[in-house]
Amino acid sequence: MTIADRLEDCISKEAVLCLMQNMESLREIRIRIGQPVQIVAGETFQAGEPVDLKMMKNMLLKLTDFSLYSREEEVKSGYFTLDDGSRVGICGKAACQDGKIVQLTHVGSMAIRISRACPGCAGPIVESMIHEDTLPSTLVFSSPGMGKTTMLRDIARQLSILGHQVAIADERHEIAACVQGIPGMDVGPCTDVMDGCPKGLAIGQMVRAISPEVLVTDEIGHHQDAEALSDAVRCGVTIVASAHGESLEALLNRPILARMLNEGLFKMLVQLGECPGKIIGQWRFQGNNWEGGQFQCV
Amino acid sequence: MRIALALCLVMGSTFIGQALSASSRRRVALLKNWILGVKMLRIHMSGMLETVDKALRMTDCPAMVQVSENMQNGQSAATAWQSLREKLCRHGNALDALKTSDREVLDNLFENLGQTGRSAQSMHLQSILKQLSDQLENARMQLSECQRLYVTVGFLVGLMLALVVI
Repeated sequence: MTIADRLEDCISKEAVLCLMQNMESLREIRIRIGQPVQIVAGETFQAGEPVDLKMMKNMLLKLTDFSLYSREEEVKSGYFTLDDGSRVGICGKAACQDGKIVQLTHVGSMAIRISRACPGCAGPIVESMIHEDTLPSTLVFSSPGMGKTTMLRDIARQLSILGHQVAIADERHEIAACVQGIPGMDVGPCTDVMDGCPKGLAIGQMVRAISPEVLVTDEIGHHQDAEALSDAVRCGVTIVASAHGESLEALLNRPILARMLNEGLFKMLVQLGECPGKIIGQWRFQGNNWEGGQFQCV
Repeated sequence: MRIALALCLVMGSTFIGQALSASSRRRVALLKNWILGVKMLRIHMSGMLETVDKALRMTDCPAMVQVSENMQNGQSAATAWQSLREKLCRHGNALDALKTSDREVLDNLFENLGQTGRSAQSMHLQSILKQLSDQLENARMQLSECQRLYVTVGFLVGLMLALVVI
């Protein structure tokens, strides 16, 4: 079922028509109460009547398969993932307790980011990786919406096809889009996926349980991720991860990422930008593991 | 010969009396089946966090499975139930033995199914189970009353006919 089918009865016919016409290049759908539906597909379109409260409620129910309770934890964290890997970000009125969101009561806006497979897009990165004696741990970074997750998925798929045992810690269901534990996206024949589990927990468990050669994970940056990734690298596992950052300087300004980079946890950095999937920079780590070093532009 | 015929009349009338209470018996069986279905639903929804359509499919209740099939077209549980309700409750169909009060409980079940958070859903299903259990208790009492009444009336009618024959 496409996103246009899912939203068919919830938004105006003009908006559905606009969605269907731009299905090929569709990247985002932004829905706000009181505003027409915004469709981002190369250029940005505004379509149909303004969305009202009832339409928003129907949309939320339909996108959660009329099972709001099953996505409650995800909704609390501000997003949930659809079966095809597309991510629905939510904003609204949050009820907080002890500094944590206990419920998101009134949803005021939604941003649906469309997930799409792009087989072969990671070719240059994989070529650089296999060129060396041992696969280098690699960090892909960019501003949001530049295709980091798509790139990770394709790196996993290509390395898996080459015969490497790949494990994916897919906390947000975005890389493999698993449904009941089975990947909905092509992630390769030698790939194991731990779906919906916090990265820190999943990485440790997968390293112990299934001995992967390559471990792929999305959007690192927390203290627990750093600990788990360091442990995995010490165990001899190659890490392929992504992080938000518009430049190498910006990455180095994030303390946890800076520590990981300075320790030489990642041997290769790849920056995406300008348009989704475009590689605009590549760096190699020069130095010794755990003792520090520098990244040099390739 | 006449005595044998009289005996047959008495027995036949008694069986007819018993058959007349079949609808009440079916109501009891249906309510039991729905209670089991809701219990399964609670396990799959609250425990395993399955979506409503998958949880409905996991139950052994044929009507719930049908609702789940209707939900495949992108309908909510309430809409899917409403489109099936009339057909299922029509005379000669699967749920024809249910009373209006039973159907109201089922309407209530589907109306709010899946539309709130986990604890609210759990409470909703708990409340539906309570209501269905009350309906079952009521149906059992009616069944025992009906059975006794119809069997007694059947026996007496048979006896009268037997006396006429003799």
